[in-house]
Amino acid sequence: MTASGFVLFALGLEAFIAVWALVVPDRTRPDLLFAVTVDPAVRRTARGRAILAAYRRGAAVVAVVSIASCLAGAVGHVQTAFLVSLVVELAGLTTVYYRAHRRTQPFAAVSGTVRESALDAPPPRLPALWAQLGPFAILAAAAVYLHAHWSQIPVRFPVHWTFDGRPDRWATRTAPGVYGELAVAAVLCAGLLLTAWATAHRTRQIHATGRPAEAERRFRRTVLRLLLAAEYFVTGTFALVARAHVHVTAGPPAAIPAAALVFAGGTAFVLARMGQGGTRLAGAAAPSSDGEVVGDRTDDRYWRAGVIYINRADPALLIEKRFGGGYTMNFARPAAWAILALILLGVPFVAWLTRH
Amino acid sequence: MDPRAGGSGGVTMTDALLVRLDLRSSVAIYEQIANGIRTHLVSGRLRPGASLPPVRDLALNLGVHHNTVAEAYRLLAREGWLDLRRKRGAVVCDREAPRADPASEAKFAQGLSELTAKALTDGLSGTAAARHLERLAAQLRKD
Repeated sequence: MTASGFVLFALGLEAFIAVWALVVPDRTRPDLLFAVTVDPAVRRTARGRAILAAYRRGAAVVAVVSIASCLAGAVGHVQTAFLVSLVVELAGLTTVYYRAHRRTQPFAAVSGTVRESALDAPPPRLPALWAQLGPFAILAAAAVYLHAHWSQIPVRFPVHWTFDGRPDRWATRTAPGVYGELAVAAVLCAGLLLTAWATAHRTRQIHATGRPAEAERRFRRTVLRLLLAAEYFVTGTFALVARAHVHVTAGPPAAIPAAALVFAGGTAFVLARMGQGGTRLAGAAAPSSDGEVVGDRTDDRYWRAGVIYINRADPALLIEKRFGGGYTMNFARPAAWAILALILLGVPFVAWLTRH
Repeated sequence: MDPRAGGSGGVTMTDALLVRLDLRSSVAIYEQIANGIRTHLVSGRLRPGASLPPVRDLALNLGVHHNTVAEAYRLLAREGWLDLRRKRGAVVCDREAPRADPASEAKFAQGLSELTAKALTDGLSGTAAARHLERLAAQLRKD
C-alpha cells in the first residue's frame, strides 16, 4: 500500500468509526438510551431529544477534529499522525458518550422484572465440524507447503510489511521463524472458535416467543457464521503470507489490507442489518406472552458507566453491550478475568514471538 | 432435545413450553420456576421420558443463579416428577399419582380460596376469576 493509500485507509477507518458513533443511539433497543434503562417515550421528549442532539454534535466535532488532525499530520509521519488522531477520536467519543450517559441517568426507569425461557428451545448449533476444521486444514496445508519448499526459503526472509508494501521485519530460516506465524494464526483461530462456542452456549436468549425470539436466533446464527468466516479470512491471509516466504520477491498480495477493511466493513453492515446493538430486540421493550415487559435480564445497578457488567447472580459469561455492538463479559465470573488476562498477556506475547 | 417425548420436535412459537418468573413476586424464584414446570407436567405437555434443559442453560436464560434452578428441579424430584441423574440431567418420570389424602382436598380448597381472595384484593374482577376457574375446571374434566 502506498503512502496515499495508507492515508485513505486511515481516513476511511476514522470516518467509519465516526459514522458508527453517530448511528449507535438509533441502533440500540428503544428501552435503552446511552446504556440507561428508560421508558422508550423518553427519546421523544424535549430533554431526550436535547441529549441525543448534544451527543451527535459532540461526536461530529470529535470526528472532524480527528480526521483534520490525521490529514494535517499526513504531511509528516503518516503512521504517527494516524495513531494520534485515532486516540483523539476514541478518547473524544468516549467522553461524549459518558456525558450523555450521565445526562440520561435522571430518566432511569425500573428494568423489566418478568423473565421467561422456553423449555424446548435448544441453544444454536455451531457450524458443522468439517467447516470448523477447514481453517486448521488451511494452516496445515500451508505448513506442508513450507516444508516441501524449505530449500527455496531464503536464510533471512521478510515476515512483516508496512502499509506501502516495504518489508520491515525479518525472520531466519528456522522452524520457529518459518512456522511461527502459522502457530499464531492457529491460536487466533482457536480464540475465534472459543468465542463462537461462548456465543452459542454462554449468552442468553432474552425472548422466548414471537418475532423478537426468532430475530434473536437468526442473529446468533449469523454471528456464528461470521466468526467462522473470520477464521477462514485469518487463516487464508496467513497462508498467503506463508507463501510469500517462498516467493520473497513477489511478497504477499497488496490487496490484503483493503480486503481486511472490506471484510470488517461488510461484517459491521451485516450485523447492523441483523439488529446488532439491540434493534432486533425492540420487542424486549414490548409486552411478553402475557402482557408484562420482559427486560434484558440485566439491571442498571450491575453496570458501571453503562459499559462494565458485574453481577455475581448472573451465570452468563458474555453479555450483550448496552451501547455499541457485540458482547462484553460479566466480570463477576472468574472466567472473564482469566480471558482478559489471556488477552492482555497473549497479545504482547504473540507480538514478541513474531519479532523473535 | 424435545421435552415432549413422542413429539415431532417442530415447536411453533405459540406452543412453546415457557417458564416465567417475576422478580417482584413474593413467591420465591425457585418456586416460581417449579410452578411453571409443574403446570406443563400436570397438563401432560411434558411427558415421561422428556428431558428438561440443563440447569445451567435454564439459569442462563432466566438470568438467575444455577443453584436456584437446581433447587426447583430438586423440589420437583421430591414430588416424584423428575429423575435427577448425573450426565442424564433432569428427566420426567412416569409418576404414579399418590393416594388421595382426605386432608389434601381440604388443603387444596383452602389454598384456592386464599388465592382467589388475594386475586380479588389485587383488583381482579369476580367474573374474570370465575372465567379462569371454569377454564381450568374444563381442562381438568377433559384430562
